[in-house]
Amino acid sequence: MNLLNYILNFRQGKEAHDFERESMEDPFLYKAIEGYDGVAEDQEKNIEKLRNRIYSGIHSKKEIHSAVVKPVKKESTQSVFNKRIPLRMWGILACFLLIIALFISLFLIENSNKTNTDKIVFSKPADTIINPIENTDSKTIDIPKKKPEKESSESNESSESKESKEPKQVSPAPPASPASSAPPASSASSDAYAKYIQSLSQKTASIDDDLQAISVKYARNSSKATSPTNKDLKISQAELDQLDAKISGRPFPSVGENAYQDYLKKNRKQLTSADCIQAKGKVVLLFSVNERGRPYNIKLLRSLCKEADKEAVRLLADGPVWTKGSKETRLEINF
Amino acid sequence: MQKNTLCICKKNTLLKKIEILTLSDADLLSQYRESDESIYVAELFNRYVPLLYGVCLKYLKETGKAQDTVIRFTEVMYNKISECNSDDFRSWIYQGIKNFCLQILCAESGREVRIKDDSDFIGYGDIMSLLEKESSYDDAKMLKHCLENLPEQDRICLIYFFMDGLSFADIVDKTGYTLEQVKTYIRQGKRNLKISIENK
Repeated sequence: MNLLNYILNFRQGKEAHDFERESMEDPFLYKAIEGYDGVAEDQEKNIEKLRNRIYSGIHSKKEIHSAVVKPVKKESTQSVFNKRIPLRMWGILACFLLIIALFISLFLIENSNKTNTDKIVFSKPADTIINPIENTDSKTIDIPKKKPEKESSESNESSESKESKEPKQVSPAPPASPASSAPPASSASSDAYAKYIQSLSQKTASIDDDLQAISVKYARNSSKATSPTNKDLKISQAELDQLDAKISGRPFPSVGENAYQDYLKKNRKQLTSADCIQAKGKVVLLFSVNERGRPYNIKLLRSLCKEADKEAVRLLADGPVWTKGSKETRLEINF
Repeated sequence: MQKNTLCICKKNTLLKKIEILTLSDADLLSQYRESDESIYVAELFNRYVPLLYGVCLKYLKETGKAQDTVIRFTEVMYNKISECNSDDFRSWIYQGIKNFCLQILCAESGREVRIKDDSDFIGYGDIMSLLEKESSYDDAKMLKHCLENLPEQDRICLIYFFMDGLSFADIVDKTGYTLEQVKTYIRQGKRNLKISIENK
């Protein structure tokens, strides 16, 4: 067997074994076999071409180097280059597509964020709106705005919740003030809402003046003495209560709380009926105040006995006037 | 008349070619030195083209480059043929092609290139003789014991190749190993067997 036969896939049998055994002692043969094993193509034609060229070249003593090399080189380089181009092009195309996909995704994300922000409805500051009140009191009182607003809103909410629990219609209601004493939390029209805001701003302007005056007065009082006197406290507390009622929209006795309590004590009649002789406790009334300062829509929140209830209503109806407020207020009368 | 002379000339050249084919390497060289006819050298190089091409394929790994290298090498060696010793043309041309390929590789890479030595596959003649030929009882017993200590795949390939006389392709068909694996196991097996025998 010769090398040509071996590389033409005559590799089985004893002859092939002998050839391989020979290559184990001949490095020239061994390397040649390794070279052909490393190339998948059939090399028979290439060997024949080489033989012809060498024979003709040596025999004619011509330089065949340039004639053989150039076309071979071109083919090899062209074939290699053709193999490389598609891979590179695919790589570049893939990167380009990735970049485009990234941009598109970013653009879509930005658009979706914008639409979400557009959809957000402007929430009406119903919680922060101060209840409208008419400041009929000539006294100028001043306290920090936020705290009393919060306190008043909390007290109003608590009073409203209590009112909702046990309301009872006691007397026929006078012509009612606009039922919506609370701010239009969910009014449909924006015009009504704007008007409401305007009215609020006008009313709060007067409250601001009161707040400034009372702060000045409080500052003067505090600067005079290290510990405030009872007198000072009483005055400031009453004024604070009045201002609190003003700001919250809750009606209060125009003569003052103390004077009203005195009126109640003086004019309260003793109970004579069998049910009420030994009755002790209080009657709680819920009512609104109209523009003339008279209570109306009186409801009995807490009853003691029939005679006591009637007496309480009489005292309220015949009593001093109240300041007008947007909300209902409570009156407790002890028996 | 002219046709007759042509036929005679052609007949003579044909006979000469047949005669050249029967000459050995040394005879061709000596004929070339005596007659200075390139036909002898051409025949000499043609005999070694498959080997030269194979070695170039091993080092350069591309068919186009290998063909180009073979052509250039024969041209160079033709000019140096007078330096060759008549008795050992094969070794001379093998050394020449190895150095020629190394020069090309160094020129391409720009640095010194070392070629892997294949002496671990080539050699171990004593081991191969021990495996192939019939030996004494003691040697056979020792060989059997050493073979049993080898890894299974090494042992199988050594037995199949050296004892059973199978070729690489036959062993591939029988065991399912790849050609490269069979060569590796035979290489490892020879080395390990030699170490095992020397340690005994």
